[in-house]
Amino acid sequence: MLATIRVRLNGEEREVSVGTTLADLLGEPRPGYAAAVNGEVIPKREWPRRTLFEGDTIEFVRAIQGG
Amino acid sequence: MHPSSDLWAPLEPWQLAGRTLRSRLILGTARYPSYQVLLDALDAAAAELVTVAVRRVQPAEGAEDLYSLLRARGIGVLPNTAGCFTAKEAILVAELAREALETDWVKLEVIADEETLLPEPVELAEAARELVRRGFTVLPYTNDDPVLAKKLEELGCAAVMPLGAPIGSGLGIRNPHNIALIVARAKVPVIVDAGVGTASDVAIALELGCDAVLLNTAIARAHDPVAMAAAMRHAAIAGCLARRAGRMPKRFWADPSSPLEGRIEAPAWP
Repeated sequence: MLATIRVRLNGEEREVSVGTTLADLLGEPRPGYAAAVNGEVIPKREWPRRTLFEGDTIEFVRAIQGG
Repeated sequence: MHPSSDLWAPLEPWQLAGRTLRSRLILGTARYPSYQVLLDALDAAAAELVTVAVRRVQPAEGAEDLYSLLRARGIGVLPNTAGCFTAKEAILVAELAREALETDWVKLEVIADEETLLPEPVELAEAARELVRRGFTVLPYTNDDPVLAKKLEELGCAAVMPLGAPIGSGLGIRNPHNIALIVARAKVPVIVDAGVGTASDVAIALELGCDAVLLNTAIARAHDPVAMAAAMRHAAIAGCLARRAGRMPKRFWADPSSPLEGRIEAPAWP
Protein backbone atom coordinates (compact mmCIF):
# COMPACT_ATOMS: atom_id res chain seq x y z
CA MET A 1 0.00 0.00 0.00
CA LEU A 2 1.25 3.49 -0.89
CA ALA A 3 1.90 5.84 1.97
CA THR A 4 -0.17 9.04 1.79
CA ILE A 5 0.05 12.58 3.08
CA ARG A 6 -2.63 15.16 3.70
CA VAL A 7 -2.54 18.57 1.98
CA ARG A 8 -5.06 21.39 1.66
CA LEU A 9 -6.05 22.46 -1.87
CA ASN A 10 -8.12 25.67 -2.03
CA GLY A 11 -9.25 25.15 1.54
CA GLU A 12 -10.20 21.47 1.18
CA GLU A 13 -8.28 18.56 2.61
CA ARG A 14 -6.89 16.05 0.08
CA GLU A 15 -5.05 12.80 0.56
CA VAL A 16 -2.25 12.23 -1.97
CA SER A 17 0.56 9.67 -2.32
CA VAL A 18 3.97 10.42 -0.94
CA GLY A 19 6.08 11.96 -3.70
CA THR A 20 3.17 13.74 -5.42
CA THR A 21 4.34 16.93 -7.11
CA LEU A 22 2.46 20.15 -7.67
CA ALA A 23 2.19 19.25 -11.38
CA ASP A 24 0.69 15.84 -10.45
CA LEU A 25 -1.94 17.57 -8.33
CA LEU A 26 -2.80 20.52 -10.60
CA GLY A 27 -2.14 19.13 -14.07
CA GLU A 28 -0.28 20.71 -16.97
CA PRO A 29 0.46 24.42 -16.26
CA ARG A 30 -1.81 26.60 -18.39
CA PRO A 31 -1.54 30.31 -19.26
CA GLY A 32 -3.69 32.42 -16.97
CA TYR A 33 -3.27 30.08 -13.99
CA ALA A 34 -1.05 30.28 -10.92
CA ALA A 35 -0.42 28.40 -7.70
CA ALA A 36 1.04 29.15 -4.29
CA VAL A 37 2.21 26.71 -1.64
CA ASN A 38 2.16 27.94 1.97
CA GLY A 39 1.73 31.53 0.80
CA GLU A 40 4.56 31.49 -1.73
CA VAL A 41 3.95 31.53 -5.48
CA ILE A 42 5.56 28.58 -7.27
CA PRO A 43 6.51 29.46 -10.87
CA LYS A 44 4.88 27.10 -13.38
CA ARG A 45 8.21 25.66 -14.57
CA GLU A 46 8.88 24.46 -11.03
CA TRP A 47 5.59 22.57 -10.62
CA PRO A 48 7.05 19.20 -11.76
CA ARG A 49 9.92 19.53 -9.27
CA ARG A 50 7.91 20.81 -6.31
CA THR A 51 7.15 17.75 -4.18
CA LEU A 52 4.29 18.14 -1.72
CA PHE A 53 4.70 17.49 2.00
CA GLU A 54 2.30 16.70 4.82
CA GLY A 55 0.31 19.83 5.74
CA ASP A 56 1.13 21.88 2.62
CA THR A 57 -1.51 24.48 1.84
CA ILE A 58 -2.04 25.09 -1.85
CA GLU A 59 -3.91 27.93 -3.53
CA PHE A 60 -4.70 27.37 -7.21
CA VAL A 61 -6.20 30.33 -9.10
CA ARG A 62 -7.00 31.80 -12.47
CA ALA A 63 -8.35 35.06 -13.89
CA ILE A 64 -12.11 35.46 -13.97
CA GLN A 65 -14.43 38.36 -14.80
CA GLY A 66 -13.95 41.17 -12.30
CA GLY A 67 -14.28 44.90 -11.80
CA MET B 1 -1.60 50.28 -31.04
CA HIS B 2 -5.06 48.82 -30.64
CA PRO B 3 -7.09 49.01 -33.89
CA SER B 4 -10.00 50.74 -32.16
CA SER B 5 -7.78 53.59 -31.00
CA ASP B 6 -8.96 55.97 -33.73
CA LEU B 7 -12.33 55.95 -31.99
CA TRP B 8 -10.52 58.27 -29.56
CA ALA B 9 -9.30 60.44 -32.43
CA PRO B 10 -10.03 63.95 -31.06
CA LEU B 11 -7.93 63.23 -27.97
CA GLU B 12 -4.19 62.99 -27.62
CA PRO B 13 -2.80 59.81 -26.03
CA TRP B 14 -1.93 59.79 -22.35
CA GLN B 15 0.68 57.98 -20.27
CA LEU B 16 0.05 55.52 -17.49
CA ALA B 17 3.17 54.07 -15.85
CA GLY B 18 5.17 54.45 -19.06
CA ARG B 19 2.48 52.91 -21.23
CA THR B 20 0.82 55.03 -23.91
CA LEU B 21 -2.96 54.72 -23.92
CA ARG B 22 -5.59 56.25 -26.17
CA SER B 23 -8.59 55.02 -24.24
CA ARG B 24 -9.80 57.13 -21.33
CA LEU B 25 -11.89 54.23 -20.09
CA ILE B 26 -10.62 51.22 -18.16
CA LEU B 27 -13.40 48.67 -17.99
CA GLY B 28 -14.29 45.95 -15.56
CA THR B 29 -15.30 42.65 -17.12
CA ALA B 30 -17.84 41.40 -14.53
CA ARG B 31 -21.63 41.17 -14.53
CA TYR B 32 -22.12 41.01 -18.29
CA PRO B 33 -24.97 38.81 -19.56
CA SER B 34 -22.50 36.87 -21.77
CA TYR B 35 -18.91 36.88 -23.06
CA GLN B 36 -20.21 38.09 -26.43
CA VAL B 37 -21.89 41.15 -24.91
CA LEU B 38 -18.72 41.83 -22.92
CA LEU B 39 -16.54 41.69 -26.04
CA ASP B 40 -18.98 43.85 -28.04
CA ALA B 41 -19.05 46.41 -25.21
CA LEU B 42 -15.24 46.49 -25.08
CA ASP B 43 -15.23 47.21 -28.81
CA ALA B 44 -17.88 49.94 -28.49
CA ALA B 45 -15.98 51.59 -25.64
CA ALA B 46 -12.67 51.15 -27.53
CA ALA B 47 -11.14 49.82 -24.33
CA GLU B 48 -7.42 48.98 -24.25
CA LEU B 49 -7.14 47.90 -20.63
CA VAL B 50 -9.62 45.85 -18.58
CA THR B 51 -9.71 44.52 -15.05
CA VAL B 52 -10.03 40.88 -14.05
CA ALA B 53 -10.30 39.16 -10.67
CA VAL B 54 -8.24 36.21 -9.42
CA ARG B 55 -10.16 33.31 -7.89
CA ARG B 56 -9.71 29.68 -6.90
CA VAL B 57 -10.13 27.08 -9.63
CA GLN B 58 -10.42 23.28 -9.38
CA PRO B 59 -7.78 21.30 -11.33
CA ALA B 60 -10.37 19.48 -13.45
CA GLU B 61 -12.41 22.57 -14.23
CA GLY B 62 -13.01 23.28 -17.93
CA ALA B 63 -11.53 26.30 -19.60
CA GLU B 64 -13.71 29.09 -20.86
CA ASP B 65 -10.59 31.15 -20.69
CA LEU B 66 -11.13 34.88 -20.28
CA TYR B 67 -7.41 35.63 -20.27
CA SER B 68 -6.77 34.01 -23.67
CA LEU B 69 -9.87 35.68 -25.08
CA LEU B 70 -8.67 39.15 -24.06
CA ARG B 71 -5.10 38.49 -25.09
CA ALA B 72 -6.19 37.35 -28.54
CA ARG B 73 -7.90 40.74 -28.97
CA GLY B 74 -4.84 42.70 -27.88
CA ILE B 75 -6.58 44.04 -24.77
CA GLY B 76 -4.36 44.62 -21.75
CA VAL B 77 -5.28 42.85 -18.54
CA LEU B 78 -5.17 44.58 -15.16
CA PRO B 79 -5.67 42.09 -12.32
CA ASN B 80 -7.41 43.35 -9.19
CA THR B 81 -7.17 42.30 -5.57
CA ALA B 82 -10.93 42.61 -5.06
CA GLY B 83 -12.27 40.94 -1.95
CA CYS B 84 -9.06 41.34 0.05
CA PHE B 85 -9.47 42.69 3.57
CA THR B 86 -5.80 42.76 4.59
CA ALA B 87 -2.50 43.82 3.08
CA LYS B 88 -1.26 40.24 3.42
CA GLU B 89 -4.12 38.83 1.31
CA ALA B 90 -3.76 41.56 -1.31
CA ILE B 91 -0.01 40.96 -1.65
CA LEU B 92 -0.48 37.21 -2.21
CA VAL B 93 -3.24 37.84 -4.78
CA ALA B 94 -0.99 40.33 -6.59
CA GLU B 95 1.86 37.79 -6.63
CA LEU B 96 -0.47 35.07 -7.98
CA ALA B 97 -1.78 37.47 -10.61
CA ARG B 98 1.75 38.38 -11.68
CA GLU B 99 2.54 34.70 -12.24
CA ALA B 100 -0.79 33.90 -13.90
CA LEU B 101 -1.13 36.92 -16.18
CA GLU B 102 2.50 37.87 -16.76
CA THR B 103 2.01 41.46 -15.67
CA ASP B 104 3.34 43.37 -12.69
CA TRP B 105 0.46 45.84 -12.91
CA VAL B 106 -2.14 45.51 -10.18
CA LYS B 107 -5.34 47.33 -9.29
CA LEU B 108 -4.83 47.31 -5.54
CA GLU B 109 -8.06 46.99 -3.63
CA VAL B 110 -8.12 46.43 0.13
CA ILE B 111 -11.60 46.86 1.52
CA ALA B 112 -12.85 47.46 5.05
CA ASP B 113 -16.14 45.57 5.02
CA GLU B 114 -18.63 43.93 2.68
CA GLU B 115 -21.40 46.44 3.32
CA THR B 116 -19.63 49.55 2.03
CA LEU B 117 -16.71 48.00 0.11
CA LEU B 118 -14.86 51.18 1.06
CA PRO B 119 -11.05 51.06 1.10
CA GLU B 120 -9.31 50.28 4.41
CA PRO B 121 -6.73 53.08 4.35
CA VAL B 122 -4.11 51.63 6.72
CA GLU B 123 -3.98 48.18 5.09
CA LEU B 124 -4.13 49.83 1.65
CA ALA B 125 -1.08 52.00 2.34
CA GLU B 126 0.82 49.05 3.82
CA ALA B 127 0.05 46.84 0.81
CA ALA B 128 0.99 49.65 -1.59
CA ARG B 129 4.35 50.16 0.10
CA GLU B 130 5.21 46.45 -0.02
CA LEU B 131 4.04 45.91 -3.61
CA VAL B 132 6.05 48.91 -4.82
CA ARG B 133 9.06 47.43 -3.04
CA ARG B 134 8.47 44.11 -4.87
CA GLY B 135 8.48 45.88 -8.24
CA PHE B 136 4.75 46.06 -8.96
CA THR B 137 3.09 48.90 -10.84
CA VAL B 138 0.49 49.74 -8.21
CA LEU B 139 -2.82 51.38 -9.12
CA PRO B 140 -4.69 51.76 -5.83
CA TYR B 141 -8.46 52.04 -5.46
CA THR B 142 -8.70 54.69 -2.76
CA ASN B 143 -11.11 56.86 -0.84
CA ASP B 144 -11.79 60.31 -2.29
CA ASP B 145 -9.44 61.64 0.38
CA PRO B 146 -6.81 64.08 -0.91
CA VAL B 147 -4.48 63.27 2.01
CA LEU B 148 -4.54 59.51 1.45
CA ALA B 149 -4.23 60.00 -2.33
CA LYS B 150 -1.08 62.08 -1.83
CA LYS B 151 0.29 59.50 0.61
CA LEU B 152 -0.22 56.69 -1.94
CA GLU B 153 1.57 58.75 -4.57
CA GLU B 154 4.49 59.32 -2.19
CA LEU B 155 4.65 55.57 -1.55
CA GLY B 156 5.37 55.11 -5.26
CA CYS B 157 1.97 54.26 -6.74
CA ALA B 158 1.80 54.81 -10.50
CA ALA B 159 -1.65 56.44 -10.29
CA VAL B 160 -4.34 57.10 -7.74
CA MET B 161 -7.88 55.85 -8.27
CA PRO B 162 -10.34 57.63 -5.98
CA LEU B 163 -13.91 56.41 -5.82
CA GLY B 164 -16.75 58.61 -7.03
CA ALA B 165 -19.22 56.65 -4.88
CA PRO B 166 -19.32 53.11 -3.43
CA ILE B 167 -18.60 50.21 -5.81
CA GLY B 168 -21.66 49.17 -7.80
CA SER B 169 -23.82 52.00 -6.41
CA GLY B 170 -24.10 54.06 -9.61
CA LEU B 171 -24.44 57.20 -7.46
CA GLY B 172 -22.03 59.27 -9.54
CA ILE B 173 -19.35 61.60 -8.19
CA ARG B 174 -20.54 62.48 -4.70
CA ASN B 175 -17.70 64.83 -3.79
CA PRO B 176 -16.47 66.57 -6.92
CA HIS B 177 -14.46 69.05 -4.87
CA ASN B 178 -12.39 66.28 -3.30
CA ILE B 179 -11.69 64.84 -6.75
CA ALA B 180 -10.63 68.33 -7.90
CA LEU B 181 -8.32 68.65 -4.87
CA ILE B 182 -6.75 65.26 -5.63
CA VAL B 183 -6.21 66.28 -9.26
CA ALA B 184 -4.74 69.65 -8.31
CA ARG B 185 -2.01 68.07 -6.18
CA ALA B 186 -1.31 64.80 -7.99
CA LYS B 187 1.81 64.30 -10.08
CA VAL B 188 0.59 60.85 -11.18
CA PRO B 189 -2.55 60.16 -13.24
CA VAL B 190 -5.88 60.31 -11.41
CA ILE B 191 -8.49 57.75 -12.40
CA VAL B 192 -11.99 57.81 -10.92
CA ASP B 193 -12.74 54.23 -9.97
CA ALA B 194 -16.24 53.17 -8.88
CA GLY B 195 -19.52 55.02 -8.54
CA VAL B 196 -20.20 55.89 -12.18
CA GLY B 197 -23.87 55.37 -13.04
CA THR B 198 -24.22 56.90 -16.47
CA ALA B 199 -22.38 58.81 -19.18
CA SER B 200 -22.63 62.26 -17.57
CA ASP B 201 -20.68 60.95 -14.54
CA VAL B 202 -17.78 60.06 -16.85
CA ALA B 203 -17.89 63.52 -18.43
CA ILE B 204 -17.82 65.16 -14.98
CA ALA B 205 -14.80 63.10 -13.88
CA LEU B 206 -12.82 64.16 -16.93
CA GLU B 207 -14.02 67.79 -16.70
CA LEU B 208 -12.61 67.78 -13.16
CA GLY B 209 -9.24 66.94 -14.69
CA CYS B 210 -9.03 63.19 -14.15
CA ASP B 211 -7.05 61.30 -16.78
CA ALA B 212 -9.43 58.35 -17.09
CA VAL B 213 -12.35 56.54 -15.52
CA LEU B 214 -12.56 52.91 -14.44
CA LEU B 215 -16.08 51.51 -14.53
CA ASN B 216 -17.94 48.25 -14.80
CA THR B 217 -21.53 47.98 -13.57
CA ALA B 218 -22.78 51.13 -15.31
CA ILE B 219 -22.14 49.40 -18.64
CA ALA B 220 -22.70 45.76 -17.70
CA ARG B 221 -26.06 46.42 -16.01
CA ALA B 222 -27.35 48.98 -18.51
CA HIS B 223 -30.43 47.92 -20.46
CA ASP B 224 -28.24 47.85 -23.58
CA PRO B 225 -24.62 47.45 -22.45
CA VAL B 226 -23.09 47.89 -25.91
CA ALA B 227 -24.97 51.16 -26.54
CA MET B 228 -24.01 52.39 -23.06
CA ALA B 229 -20.35 51.52 -23.72
CA ALA B 230 -20.42 53.79 -26.77
CA ALA B 231 -22.15 56.53 -24.73
CA MET B 232 -19.40 56.31 -22.09
CA ARG B 233 -16.74 56.74 -24.77
CA HIS B 234 -18.45 59.83 -26.20
CA ALA B 235 -18.87 61.25 -22.69
CA ALA B 236 -15.17 60.71 -21.96
CA ILE B 237 -14.23 62.52 -25.16
CA ALA B 238 -16.61 65.38 -24.34
CA GLY B 239 -15.28 65.65 -20.79
CA CYS B 240 -11.65 65.80 -21.95
CA LEU B 241 -12.42 68.38 -24.62
CA ALA B 242 -14.40 70.52 -22.15
CA ARG B 243 -11.55 70.37 -19.62
CA ARG B 244 -9.13 71.49 -22.29
CA ALA B 245 -11.51 74.25 -23.47
CA GLY B 246 -11.80 75.65 -19.95
CA ARG B 247 -15.24 76.16 -18.46
CA MET B 248 -16.78 79.60 -17.73
CA PRO B 249 -16.69 80.89 -14.17
CA LYS B 250 -19.74 80.09 -12.06
CA ARG B 251 -22.03 83.00 -10.98
CA PHE B 252 -24.64 83.22 -8.27
CA TRP B 253 -27.08 85.50 -10.16
CA ALA B 254 -28.24 85.40 -13.74
CA ASP B 255 -26.31 87.31 -16.38
CA PRO B 256 -28.22 88.10 -19.59
CA SER B 257 -26.69 86.89 -22.82
CA SER B 258 -28.62 89.49 -24.88
CA PRO B 259 -27.77 93.10 -24.01
CA LEU B 260 -30.32 95.03 -21.91
CA GLU B 261 -29.43 98.26 -23.78
CA GLY B 262 -31.41 99.14 -26.91
CA ARG B 263 -34.63 97.43 -25.87
CA ILE B 264 -37.90 98.76 -27.32
CA GLU B 265 -40.73 100.29 -25.28
CA ALA B 266 -44.21 98.91 -25.84
CA PRO B 267 -47.30 101.17 -25.25
CA ALA B 268 -49.22 100.47 -22.04
CA TRP B 269 -51.81 97.70 -22.31
CA PRO B 270 -55.23 99.28 -23.04
